[in-house]
Amino acid sequence: MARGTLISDIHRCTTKRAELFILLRITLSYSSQLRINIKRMKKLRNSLFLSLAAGMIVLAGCGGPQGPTTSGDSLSEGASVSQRTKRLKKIFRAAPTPMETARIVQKTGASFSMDHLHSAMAASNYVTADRQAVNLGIYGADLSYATIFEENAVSLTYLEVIKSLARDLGVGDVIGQDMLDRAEANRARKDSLVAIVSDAFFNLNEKLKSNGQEDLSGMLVAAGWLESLYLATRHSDRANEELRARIAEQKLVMEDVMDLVTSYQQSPELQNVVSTLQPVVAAFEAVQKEEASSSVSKSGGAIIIGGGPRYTASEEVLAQITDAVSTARNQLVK
Amino acid sequence: MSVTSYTMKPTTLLLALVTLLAVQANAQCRTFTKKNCLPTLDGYVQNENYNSAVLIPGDEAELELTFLAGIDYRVAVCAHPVLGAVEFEVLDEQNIRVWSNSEGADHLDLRVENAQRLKFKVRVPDTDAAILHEGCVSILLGSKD
Repeated sequence: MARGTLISDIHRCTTKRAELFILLRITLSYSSQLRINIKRMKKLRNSLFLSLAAGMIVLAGCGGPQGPTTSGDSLSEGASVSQRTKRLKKIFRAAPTPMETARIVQKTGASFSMDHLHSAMAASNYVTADRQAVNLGIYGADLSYATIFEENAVSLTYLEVIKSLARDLGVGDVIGQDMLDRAEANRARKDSLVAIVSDAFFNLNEKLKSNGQEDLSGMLVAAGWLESLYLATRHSDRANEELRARIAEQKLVMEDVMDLVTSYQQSPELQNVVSTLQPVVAAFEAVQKEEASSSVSKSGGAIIIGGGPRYTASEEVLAQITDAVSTARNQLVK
Repeated sequence: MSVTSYTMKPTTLLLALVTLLAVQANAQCRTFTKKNCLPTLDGYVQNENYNSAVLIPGDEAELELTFLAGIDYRVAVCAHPVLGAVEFEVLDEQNIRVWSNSEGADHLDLRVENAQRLKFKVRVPDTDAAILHEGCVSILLGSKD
């Protein structure tokens, strides 16, 4: 199979080289008549451009199979000859997911309440791309909570809603019927549902970015974080110390989310989401940070990082965060 | 007017080609990541973030991310073999190195006692080769209870 692929690649490259040769001959035939007139010189310049372009196509098409190969991988998959020589430093931005926040909230002993989820019936109200992306994030966080708290019937309902919104947004192919069928077949298995939901949102984010819709991906992430915090703060008036600490630590996540969202090109819709979040950012400013150095130990094959900064929020600050989150969330789901 | 449009066409064509090559490289990177990198997270649920880029020897990549207490994480750094053995290290918020893959590991399992932000630095080794190959580098995150 691999050999067959290689032979067909060589064939394709040979054909392309023949095409390039013909183009070069046309170009040369123009150069032999250089003295004819200016109009022909313009044609020559055009031909040179076309030859160069054709050369690039041939290089792009043939560079992989003819270069060195490693570990049985063709260089055309994930590697090729570089078009640049200048070094760069690529900065990735990311943020913890609603699934992670749901996990730590569940561990504090918090309970699940269906009443706090955004109504699944409202999904059809969102007809513009920005509202759809924002509410994909909101419903995604609701789905994560339902899944972590093993509310399986709710999970399946919200997965249907997300499938429908993703379709309306033009990225429906990443959540197909097969995914829903797998979720239905694994409805009693929390780990499988968590994996299916995470896989769906990984593909959604990746699809939006590859479509050049980073701003929509940013809206999805920001709204997802806000909804996960909204659900975490629903019981903040009777939260235990651990839940308070977890909410205070969300200051770090808030910074990750804001860094990520503001790193994307700011469309007016994304700017609108960012400004909706500003009161939440302001409320988190009152969270206290106590610096401490880290310590590292090993356990099995993993490293355990102890110490590090601690975040605390007074009851008053927690109430301010709760109010700000509620206001912003209710604005986003309108 | 007609002269202007006449000279613009090849330029537009070249720009379109360069864009096409960039798009093709990114598409290959996505395929590479899904096929070759995601299996490293076996046993962990992949995070929803997609962090991949096409790099050349000498390039660096950085990811800053908050890790939450009580969750087991796996961070996998995956690079196309044409780039050689990439180096990666983990720094805490005070920029103190807490781990590096000096033994050639392609992933790190970690847990934090308090939520904290860590920085992952990945460096593609330099080369003296006349032809620079570019390859896909991905930083993937997985978690489990």
